Amino acid sequence: MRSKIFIVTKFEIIRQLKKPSFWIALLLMPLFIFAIVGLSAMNGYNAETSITEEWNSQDYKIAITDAAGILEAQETVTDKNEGIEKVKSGEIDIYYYIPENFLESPIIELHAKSKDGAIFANFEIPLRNLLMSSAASHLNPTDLTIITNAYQFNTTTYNANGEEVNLFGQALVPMAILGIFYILICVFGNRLIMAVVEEKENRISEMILTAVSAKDLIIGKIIALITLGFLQIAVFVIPIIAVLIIYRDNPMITELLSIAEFNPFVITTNILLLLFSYFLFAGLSTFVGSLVPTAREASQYIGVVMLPLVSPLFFISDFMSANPSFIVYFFSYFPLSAPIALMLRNAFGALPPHELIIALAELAICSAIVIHWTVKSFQKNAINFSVVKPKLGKRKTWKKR
Amino acid sequence: MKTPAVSVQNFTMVFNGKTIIKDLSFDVQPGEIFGLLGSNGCGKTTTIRALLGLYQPSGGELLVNGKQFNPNDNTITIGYLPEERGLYKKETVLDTFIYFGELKGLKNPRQWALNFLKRVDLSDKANEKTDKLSGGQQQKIQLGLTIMNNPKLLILDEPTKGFDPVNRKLLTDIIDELHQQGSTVILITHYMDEVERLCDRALLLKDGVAHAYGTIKGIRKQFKNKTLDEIFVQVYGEQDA
Repeated sequence: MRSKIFIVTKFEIIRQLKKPSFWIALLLMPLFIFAIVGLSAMNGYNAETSITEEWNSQDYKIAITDAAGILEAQETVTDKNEGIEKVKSGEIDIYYYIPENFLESPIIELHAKSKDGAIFANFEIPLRNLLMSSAASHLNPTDLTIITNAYQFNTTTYNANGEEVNLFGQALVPMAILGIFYILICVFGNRLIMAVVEEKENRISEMILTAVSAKDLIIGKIIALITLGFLQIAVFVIPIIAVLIIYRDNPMITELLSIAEFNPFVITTNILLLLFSYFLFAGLSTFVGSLVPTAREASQYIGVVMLPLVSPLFFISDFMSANPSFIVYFFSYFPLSAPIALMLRNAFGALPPHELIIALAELAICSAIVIHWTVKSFQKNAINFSVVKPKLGKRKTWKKR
Repeated sequence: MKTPAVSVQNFTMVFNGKTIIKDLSFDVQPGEIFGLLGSNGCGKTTTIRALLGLYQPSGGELLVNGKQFNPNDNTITIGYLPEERGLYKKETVLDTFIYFGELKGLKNPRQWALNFLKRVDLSDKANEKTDKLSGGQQQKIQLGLTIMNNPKLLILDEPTKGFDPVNRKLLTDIIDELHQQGSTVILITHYMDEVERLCDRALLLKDGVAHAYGTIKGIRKQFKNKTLDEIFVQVYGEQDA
């Protein structure tokens, strides 16, 4: 005889796949994310302009070597190696090297210190401003075109110890994994709750519980929705891989691939964090579903799970620091906020291996405990068919006089 | 001595400090049809839910075939038609049957379902979603789901409540059939004519304790050969008054 968990899993997967709403959510969410990313990339120029003022107001120490003689009186460092060493030592924040043959080969070397929270900052802006303001009046139209538009930066960033780092490239793939987790919780949060509430709402839980134990039923449902989560991951990842392969000769993709780092350890550990986090999220969502008699009531409580879960995103810059603050530790070890906090820290290389092991163990233990509670709670509340709101405290009652 | 199909010993159930069932004991013997009778709220459904592990009893022991009920135990097949009953609204009739059939260990639930639907004149509804069926048609489906594993213990909680005469007849026919095949049946009902016609023994529950317990003949004798309807009115009329 087949396992009852397998029977429940199969039933739940097939019925979800038959729902048009499932496919709409499954396909629309990645499309929505791709659209946002695309718009963000297209809007890059505007973004640069808008943050120029912010750059100007900040106290960044900048040095330039203008071997091509394009800028007026800007040669603050004569030797390129000296400029690079000054960035490494922290004496200056950004160093630009404009080579002698710049007008023939318009590539500017950019060396910058990666400050906390400045991973996505555009270090190019100060020089772009200088090129626009001081060079334009001195050059012929052909050169002007190059200087105002047709040049590239070759950027190197350094960490606090003066070591070369590629924080953006390093974080790119792990952050995509975090993005997948975000999609999963958006698409499956409500479905996980509904999967548990449905038997109660349809008043079939008494009949079903004489055919299958509450434990097998709940575990089967969770496995089904985790399996469907993999389908969601495939729907998100396969188009990305396909685009990268088909358009691999496109300059933008070539540049992206040259920047992106594929660190197997960080990617593997973030995938593990994703899986354990999804187990915990599935447990929490089904637990909410097991407590209440109807989907409508469940939807009132899901915010309790979702808000702490996404709260680390409001403090994203704190998670990039190699010296974590109290809030980083709090979010990392508080089970409800741990998933995103840990994935952020791991993406930025700010999660030491010993903390990673503790975090994975914490997520696994919490998932097991929550799923155990869910089974117990479902068993206890399986015949809670009423739509009476759970009482949070004693209320005074008004009597007719 | 045969192991009782159901054994309830010193069962006590307390909800929020209020005792619903107090020290209740009875046995249901294999192959008999047993009536569990009482007015609304006297604890009949609570007893069955505790027997099936849906409630944790406050005290006592409730056994099915000598063991605590476990849905994964294949040594006894159970069919339970609860008082509160429903269906997966967005599933087709056939898919619902196949799901329950697989959970109950049937080898070919599809074929069983098709045969049953033919018997109850619902063959054309096999691929309909259950929420598209009429109330009477849904009752037939619920009944089919209850008996599809050919249960050795059939528990029917107010099975004819809301049933039209056609479905009532169908149900009593099915009870008869299963009884002929040796199944044990526990029947919770307010229809005393059904009890007199179908049951071998019965228990009258009042205020959480057994008010009368024995064969139908014995109970009638205890109440000066009144009919069960008259006994019911006498016992529970006093309570309502």
